Amino acid sequence: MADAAPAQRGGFRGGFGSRGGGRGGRGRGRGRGRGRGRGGKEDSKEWVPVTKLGRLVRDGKIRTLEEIYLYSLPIKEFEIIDFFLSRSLKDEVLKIMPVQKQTRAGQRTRFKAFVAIGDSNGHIGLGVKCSKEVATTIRGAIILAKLSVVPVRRGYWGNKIGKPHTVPCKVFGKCGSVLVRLIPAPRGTGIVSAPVPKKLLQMAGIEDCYTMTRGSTTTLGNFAKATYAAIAKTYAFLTPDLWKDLPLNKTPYQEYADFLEKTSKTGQRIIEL
Amino acid sequence: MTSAGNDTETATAIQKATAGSSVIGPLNFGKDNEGGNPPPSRLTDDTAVECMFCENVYNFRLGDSRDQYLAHLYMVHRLVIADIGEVECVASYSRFWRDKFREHPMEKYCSALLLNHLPDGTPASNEKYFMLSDIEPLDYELRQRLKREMMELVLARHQFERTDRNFNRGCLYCRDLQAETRAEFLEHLYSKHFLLLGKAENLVFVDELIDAVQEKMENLICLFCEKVFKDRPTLKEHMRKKGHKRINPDNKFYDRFFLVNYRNDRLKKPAPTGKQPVPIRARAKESSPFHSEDSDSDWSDWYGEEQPTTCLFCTVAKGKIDELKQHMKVDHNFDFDGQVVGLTFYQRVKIVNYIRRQMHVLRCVQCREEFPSKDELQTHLREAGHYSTGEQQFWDQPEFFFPTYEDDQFLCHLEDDSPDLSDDSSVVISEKVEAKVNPEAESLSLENFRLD
Repeated sequence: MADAAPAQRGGFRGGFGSRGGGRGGRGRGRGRGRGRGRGGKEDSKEWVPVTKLGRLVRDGKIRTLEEIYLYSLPIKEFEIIDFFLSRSLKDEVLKIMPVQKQTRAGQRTRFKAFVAIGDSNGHIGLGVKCSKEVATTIRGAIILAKLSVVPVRRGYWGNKIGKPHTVPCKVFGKCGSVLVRLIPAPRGTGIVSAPVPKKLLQMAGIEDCYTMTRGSTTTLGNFAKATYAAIAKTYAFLTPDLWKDLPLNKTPYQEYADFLEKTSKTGQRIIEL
Repeated sequence: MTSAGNDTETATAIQKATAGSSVIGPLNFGKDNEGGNPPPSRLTDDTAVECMFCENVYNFRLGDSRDQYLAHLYMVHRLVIADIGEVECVASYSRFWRDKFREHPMEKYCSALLLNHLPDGTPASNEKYFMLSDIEPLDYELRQRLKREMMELVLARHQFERTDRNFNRGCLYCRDLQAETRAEFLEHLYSKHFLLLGKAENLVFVDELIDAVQEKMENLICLFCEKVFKDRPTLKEHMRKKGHKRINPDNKFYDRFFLVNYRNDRLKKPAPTGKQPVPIRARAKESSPFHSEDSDSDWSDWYGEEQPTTCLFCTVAKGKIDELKQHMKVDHNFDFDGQVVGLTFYQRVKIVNYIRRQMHVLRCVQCREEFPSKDELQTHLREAGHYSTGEQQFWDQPEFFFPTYEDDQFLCHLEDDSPDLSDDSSVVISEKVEAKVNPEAESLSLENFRLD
């Protein structure tokens, strides 16, 4: 690599020797030879999906992330999340801590990172990763956080003016001994909670919320996970306005009522015998 | 929402209460420690380190002052510190032992050696020297503690440098860039000027590193081989030709800027020399996001500090809410749980915010008498026994939905007698669901569907 530069220099000097110390010309020449070669590693490569869902997403057959959630399809490639949300997702490293393991060869230190990711508009994810280097840890944790992104359903307090700002109903999440309950609040209340859940709720896009917590809240990892579980539950509750979207078919009993009548008679006969 | 009764007296009282409460700025229990100072880069102040035994003072920031101090300890006080490379912060270490040597003679902690020469090398016989090593339990604990503290400091500083957008430093070479973050700055130095200092995610104390590099450039010293040149173009040409536009891995001065050196691994087996790049298949599994060892996905080892909850009527704060409620029962004869039986969650929220507000504006909760000072209010409450929630007409107001104190932890521990029943006082409308039917996604989801 160092050889390429002198050769070019010899060539250029004749032509561009007087140009501003030749720094511009030489720099550009080098850039062409070396920079892109090394920089190419950093460029985002074309995503080749390895799962069926990934292929559907890349071909544009899935319009929104919400459709994936509707059909409970497992997301195994973080590029899927990036496809829909990369511009609005912000990650935050909640904590990096060293963990030590005593092995036969001595003490081994690794770094563990807890990362939360969210777009402050209805999506939240949490990831934890342990690795030998800080950089690998953070990158790995961000990927895991992206894979765990869930949709957040929000609601309005009292009247449907402006954007939704609070949780749609009382939900709770549990992890370890920590129980976190989220309770709807009027606009302007803000998030009433300890710092860790507050951060998560903000990143999920919830502006106003009361919380009730029980258990050993000093285990911040469980605290964060319980909050995440509670936020994820907002879509699990069926509220009346969802009922009208579901088609009401005949139940199997209604449809096959005649058939069942016949077989039940048969059943009775067997018993009588 | 105001329960304006027929009684005009009550109505005017309510009006006075709500009219008198002007908008109060945000109140906090805890001090605002965020957005203040950036995390420190040294464990302790090392510009004035005093000798353990005498009055000499050394400034570790200047040149090889640290080595001069260690030499002084040997030459004058005949003390050697064992494994000095293992001591994370010599300044803190020195300060600790300085205090200890005040109380007890050094022989208590140091091992003694007999050598056959004087400190300057001239032969002598049976000269006594001292060694301070981690055989002494206090020393061992000190070294471990310094390692831990240094690791925390480094991680906190790295975290800060990773996200801080107020860096604002101009490029060392060109006038083009005014970088906002350190990562941007280092990336620019590499991509435009081919100066490789390292990846931002692996570096810490970046400000000092750049200062050191800048100093070398200005004094016409090559970064890698440290030779001096006669002018800037010669220096730049040398660095380019020889590939010296990077940090010399053997130069120990730069060790402290790389995170990997703070790991403190004590491995007996030497790390495999990575002369050849490891093929992807043979690479350690742990770099994949799906590999997780037992401790990897364990969420329960991250511990934080307890958020204390402050009493409603005084300044006592407890870690656990049950202890605080016990304190209120004993010292104020106020049984919070007993008072709120049968009330909804939202009513309990209002009660807490109401009491906090009255205490802040120095008004008694029960009789609504105002007092000029905190002490007088406390005296009145104690003597009249007016520790209570006050009357419902006063606390059941919509303004008390909003927390009086932004970080009031009491509000996070309000139990709900019937948590699952819906609360009639609140009507929450959910947002519309946006997902539409997608036949391809549906067929994909049905592929693995089995009626077992």
